[in-house]
Amino acid sequence: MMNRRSILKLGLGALLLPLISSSLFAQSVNKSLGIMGANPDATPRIDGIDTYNAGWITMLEDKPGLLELEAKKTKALEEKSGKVKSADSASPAPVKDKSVMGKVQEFFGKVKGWF
Amino acid sequence: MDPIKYFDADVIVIGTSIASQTVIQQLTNTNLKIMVLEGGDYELTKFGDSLTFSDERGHYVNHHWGGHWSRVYGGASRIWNGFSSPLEKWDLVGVDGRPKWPISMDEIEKYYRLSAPVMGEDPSVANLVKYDTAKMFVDRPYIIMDPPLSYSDPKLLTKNKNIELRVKHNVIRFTADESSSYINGIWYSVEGDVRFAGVKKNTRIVLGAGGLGNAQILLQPDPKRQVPVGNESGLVGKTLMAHPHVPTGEGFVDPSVVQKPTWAKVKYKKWLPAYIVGAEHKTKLNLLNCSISFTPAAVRELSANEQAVQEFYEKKWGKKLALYTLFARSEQLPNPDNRIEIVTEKNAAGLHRLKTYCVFGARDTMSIDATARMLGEYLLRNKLGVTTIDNDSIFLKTWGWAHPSGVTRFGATPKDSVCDSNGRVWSYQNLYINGSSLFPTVGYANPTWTIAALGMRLGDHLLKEMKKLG
Repeated sequence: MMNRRSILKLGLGALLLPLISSSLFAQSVNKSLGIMGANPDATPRIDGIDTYNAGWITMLEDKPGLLELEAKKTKALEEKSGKVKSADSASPAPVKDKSVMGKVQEFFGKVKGWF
Repeated sequence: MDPIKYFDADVIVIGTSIASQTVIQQLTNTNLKIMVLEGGDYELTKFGDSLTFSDERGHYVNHHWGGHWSRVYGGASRIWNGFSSPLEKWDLVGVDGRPKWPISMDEIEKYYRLSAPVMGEDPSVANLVKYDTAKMFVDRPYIIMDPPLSYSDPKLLTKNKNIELRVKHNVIRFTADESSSYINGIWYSVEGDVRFAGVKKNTRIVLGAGGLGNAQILLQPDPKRQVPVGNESGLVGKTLMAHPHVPTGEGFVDPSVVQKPTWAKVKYKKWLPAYIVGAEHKTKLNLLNCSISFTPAAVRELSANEQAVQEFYEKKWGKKLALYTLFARSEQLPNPDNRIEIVTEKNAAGLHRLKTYCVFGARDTMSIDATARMLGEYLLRNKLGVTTIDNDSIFLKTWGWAHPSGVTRFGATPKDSVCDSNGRVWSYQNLYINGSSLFPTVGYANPTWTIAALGMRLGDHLLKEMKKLG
């Protein structure tokens, strides 16, 4: 049966428990080595290294610069090869194959093209 | 040559490669009577060449093992290209479940120093053994040794009066006494003609018939016994290893990366720049041993991508960068599934032929990949170079140099090894082995120099033994 004394005891317990609980239920391990910090593999590795086009190991911050420079180089190479091609086109066209087999192949090529 | 009933000698050495000749070298200035049996002739013959063909399975096929194994006077030293590097302490200590070596690095280092001149080098090359293990990457080059092709010159042996050399004598197998403590006879063949000769109890036998050849002889069945003589451990032929090799990519690097290392104070002759991961980091990262070397890339027109990378980093770092190919030479994990066995068919010398099984495992190739990526990051962070990772090459095109190791490994107990720390087959008091077949782990480099060091160490041990016998 609840009397005034037991009600007082309960009240005192409710007041004291939050104050002493941190030391009552504390783990014996060093606080600085928390569970979350113990496994180095669990920590995400943010290192700024990136594997860029064609397998180059580069810095992530270098990517925009590299892409820009590569676009320029590609364009320059294309222009260069384009010039070479146009230079090639000035040469006389190759003589067409006038043999019977050549004509047959040409005919079947056309037939194939219809479908 | 008449067949003989007894091989009358203090020491019988089987084979004439560096594995055997370094043992003999330590015994020549004594009164010991030495008989040398070589399976091949003075020059490679069709008969000799036919003896090394095996049924090869796995990543090393198309006469790969046989092509690096030569039945000729001088053995594989006649076809070796000279690339070598010493083992390191980390290779011997049994990290991550790999078997331990039964001898210390200090002892091997002593014999590296002694054997360096035998390999045509200055003893200072042995300084490469010890390096700063805390460093992430160590520039530990390959020495391109110029070994005595003099091993092809039999006069170096036969000028000694106490040495009797018999070529074209292929040892097939041994016989043992009733107590199975001593080898008391040798079955051998001369151009296919099978013969037998007895061996005295006090005669010491050194088997140096090649990494595969040593195991082949110890696997030949004896009709009178359940297990072949020498394979009482059941471990002969197990854990076959070699060295995976593969280009890992290319890179534009600073000239300082490929300059001559000075930390080891080595009198370099010919060398190849290469890097390894420091031992402490290898353990921490669970890596196998792997080195990555740099060779100038073949001159070619650069793609737009390559031009951009070179120009970008040359401008960013303010230095010139040159194009190099990066090449990995790596360790293979000892795996009992990689092994040799014998088949029913016999070769022309009367030995059962071999069947080899050897496949690269995930850790073998992942270690190459991890090392190459780490090196790429290391160079980049230190503004020393920018490199590629060729994934297809590493995981689809890895191949290997057939340096057959592990198939008669030495160890601390008869339970886990074929031979004791001196290379003596545990069951027999007078049978010793030398060669890469002794290696419990292989490191990353060509085994020849280590074989020479172990050979001289065995020679010294035999001298002590023979002195005890009087």
